[in-house]
Amino acid sequence: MKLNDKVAIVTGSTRGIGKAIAMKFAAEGAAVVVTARHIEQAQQVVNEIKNQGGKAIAFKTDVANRADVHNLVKGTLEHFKSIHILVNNAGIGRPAPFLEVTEEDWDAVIDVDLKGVFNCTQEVLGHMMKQQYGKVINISSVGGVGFPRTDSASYGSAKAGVIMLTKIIAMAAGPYGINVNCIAPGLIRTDMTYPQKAETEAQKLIKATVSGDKDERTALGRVGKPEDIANLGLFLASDDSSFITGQTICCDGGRHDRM
Amino acid sequence: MVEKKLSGKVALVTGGARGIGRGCALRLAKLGADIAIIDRNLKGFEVYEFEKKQMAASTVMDEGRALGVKAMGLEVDLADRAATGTAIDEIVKKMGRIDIAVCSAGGGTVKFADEIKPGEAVKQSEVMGVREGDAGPGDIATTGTPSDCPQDMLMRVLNNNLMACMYTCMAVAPYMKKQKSGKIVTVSSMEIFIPRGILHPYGTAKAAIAYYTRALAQDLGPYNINVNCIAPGVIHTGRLGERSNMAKQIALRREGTVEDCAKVVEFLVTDLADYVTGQIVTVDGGARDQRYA
Repeated sequence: MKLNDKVAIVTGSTRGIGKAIAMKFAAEGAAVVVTARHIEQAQQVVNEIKNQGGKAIAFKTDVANRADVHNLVKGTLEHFKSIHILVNNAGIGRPAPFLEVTEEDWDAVIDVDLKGVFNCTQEVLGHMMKQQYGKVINISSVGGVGFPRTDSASYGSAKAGVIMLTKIIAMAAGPYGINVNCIAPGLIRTDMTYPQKAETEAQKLIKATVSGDKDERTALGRVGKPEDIANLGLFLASDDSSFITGQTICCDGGRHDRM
Repeated sequence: MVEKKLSGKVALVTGGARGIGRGCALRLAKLGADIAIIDRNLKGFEVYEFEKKQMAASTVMDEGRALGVKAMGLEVDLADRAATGTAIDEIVKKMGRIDIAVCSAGGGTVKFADEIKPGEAVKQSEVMGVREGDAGPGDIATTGTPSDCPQDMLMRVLNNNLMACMYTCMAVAPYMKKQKSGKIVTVSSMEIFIPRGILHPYGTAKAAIAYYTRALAQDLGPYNINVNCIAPGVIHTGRLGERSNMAKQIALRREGTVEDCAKVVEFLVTDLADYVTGQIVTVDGGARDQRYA
């Protein structure tokens, strides 16, 4: 159990990557704070964790809303007395051809995907600095590493911003024993990437990974699972990565290097 | 109680007789992997007091056996492609397979400590400029610059670092392709992200290893083989010993240990990293970015 007695906040953890991380961390002994914009969904995940013998509480949080985030951190400290791990996973995408991106959509994506990381980390870091321990894990995307999709102006920019923000916070927090790193997932099978797609259509997209459509191709020949990201997340939350900070690791099956 | 998640696996570690290589070999042995060591000198640790003190047996192979795994060691010049191929064939013959290959052989010296004649000049402290006191028992660091590098220094460093890595991977790949499984980890350096050109051509060789890792990952991915790379920063091995004053230039305010590297290599060769490939993972405590902070 690599995360015994640790307290972890995982934002946006009611489904997909966030949920997989929350479940994995709970299985490894962490007390998990599950957040979502709708409390009922967060509570469902909490129940799942408790059914497996783990510890968890739910919080209603919009990471773009500073007051929400402040209350999340305050409430976590009141309940669990400490915060050791923060996973900035909450994220949205509003794909559109560049000339059709609305100001509202642009702002919404930047607010959640980039400012959300700023909000949550700033609120938590003071506590981590006091305890001289912390692990911050940001979720970026291969879309932010250098994979410019023409329909991804806001998402790609926000995710690229998260990579630089990771380095900056890491430099500020390093002297206090805090590791700040980032995961850039590739194409992962979640509701966000395969929303409401019929099973056969989803399977077609997955098959395209191995042959044909170069957009979907990965070196390892398969689309990723949320658990793949959770496994890397566990490594970054544990002592095994204690000398790594400021870094972004892609978890993409070798996708973004593939032409 | 350590879970033996690598039980039944065979791990090759080049440069495994000492330093970072040895640390990786022992970490994998503790997880149950049988170990095969290739090094130019299986007793290379002898010239470093710092490393001699740490040895729990007369070689890393004996240390592995004491941990309950099978172990073998071969002294090979990995810059000799044919000799490397023969060595890998022998390992597979004796151990049955290769599941993991950690290509740690290399280093920033143009001569190794045990090759230096008495009285030969030690230039390391001049070059590094960051160490207090004597620089180890006599490595001669590379002193080339990008625009001017003596030929023997150039070829030796490229051979010991880049060619050794590529020849190892090329010898191991056919076996892993047949198995349709494998984990390869190469070793680059934080140096590749800071192109100041000192210790040249060490940085160039290490940068080429990083590119090669990405290309090899694309090549071997369809065979279910993961290929990744660690880029260590300032790590305490025999060459550095217990001296240095780099902590102020490192975000985490401490220099690294062999174990810091071995833990990351462990992650990269277990199933936790099944979807990670073609990655260069910097293990430097935040040194490479600290320069600009």
